[in-house]
Amino acid sequence: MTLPKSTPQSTPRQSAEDLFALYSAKIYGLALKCGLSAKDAEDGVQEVFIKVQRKLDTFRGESALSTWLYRVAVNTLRDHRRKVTRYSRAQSLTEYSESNVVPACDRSYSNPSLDAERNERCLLVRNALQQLPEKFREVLVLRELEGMSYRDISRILEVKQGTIESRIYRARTRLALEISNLEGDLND
Amino acid sequence: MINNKQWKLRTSAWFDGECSDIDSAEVRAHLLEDNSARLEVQQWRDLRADLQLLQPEAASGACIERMKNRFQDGLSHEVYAYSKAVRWLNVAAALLLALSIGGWIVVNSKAPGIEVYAQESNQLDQAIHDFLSRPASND
Repeated sequence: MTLPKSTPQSTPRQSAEDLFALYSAKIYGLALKCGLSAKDAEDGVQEVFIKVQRKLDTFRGESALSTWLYRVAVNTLRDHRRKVTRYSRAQSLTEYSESNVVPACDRSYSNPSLDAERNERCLLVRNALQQLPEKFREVLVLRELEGMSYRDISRILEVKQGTIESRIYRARTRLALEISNLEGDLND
Repeated sequence: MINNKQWKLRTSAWFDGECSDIDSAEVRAHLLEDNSARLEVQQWRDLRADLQLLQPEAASGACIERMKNRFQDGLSHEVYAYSKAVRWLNVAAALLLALSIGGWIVVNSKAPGIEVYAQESNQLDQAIHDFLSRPASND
C-alpha cells in the first residue's frame, strides 16, 4: 500500500466524518494487525476518529492528510493497546479470552486439517510478533502487512528513513528468533 | 569497503524493493557470492509468508455500520462535553470579572471616616490623642 500523494492544498477541507467514511475500514484492519481483538479494534477505531475530530484543526498541511491520519492512528492504537494489555492482565485469563478472539487466526478453510495447521501457525506467528518491542512490531506491521514504503513509514512514525531501514532489518532478525524459540518450546 | 552490517541493511532494503538500480545490482552480485546472505533472504521470504497469515479479512458491512454509529454517538458526546466545558468557562469568567470589578471598587473608593493630618510624628500623636479624647458622637 502506498499512501495517496495528495497534499491538503489540493484536497478540499474534510470533516472527521468524511475521513471516517474513507478510512475507518483501513484503520480497523490496522488495529487488528497491531494485535487487537475485533472488539478492541472497534474501540480503537472509535478513539482514533474522536482524536482526529479534536485535532483536525491543528493539521497544518506539512504532510498528506492520509499520512497525518495514519500518524494519529498509530499513536492512538499504541496507547489503546497498552491500555488493553494492562486491563487484560488485571482480568483473569478465562474472562478475557472470550472477548479476545484473534480474527485472522480463527478462519475456516475447505480442508479441516489444513485449517488447524494454518491457524496454529498463525497463532504462533502472532505470539512471536507480540513478543517484539513496540518499535519493531510497528515497522513490521506497516511494512509487511500494510505494504508501505520506507518513506511513508518514516513520515508516519516521524523517524529518519535510515532508522526505519535498520529497524526493519533488526525487527526481522528478532521475529525470526522469536518464532524459532516458540517452535522450540512447542517441540519440547 | 562495505562491512557485513552494511551489506545486511542493504540486502534488507533490496528485499523490500527500496534500492536504486545500481545498489540492486551490487546486492545481487553479493548474494551470488555469499551463501549466508542467500539463506538470510530465504528466511525473510518465509517470514513474509508467515506474516501474511495475520492479514485480517476486510471489515464486514455490519461492523462498519456499528463503528459508524458509535463514532456518531461519540461525536455528539464530544459536542455536549465541549458545550458543557464552555458553559463552565463562561461561569468562571463571569465570576472572575465580578471579583475583579468588586476589588477595584473596594480599592478605589474612600471609606467614610475621619482624616487626620500631621507634618511631624509628635503632631500625629497629638492629633490621635485629641481624636480619642473627643466625646463619642451620637450619629
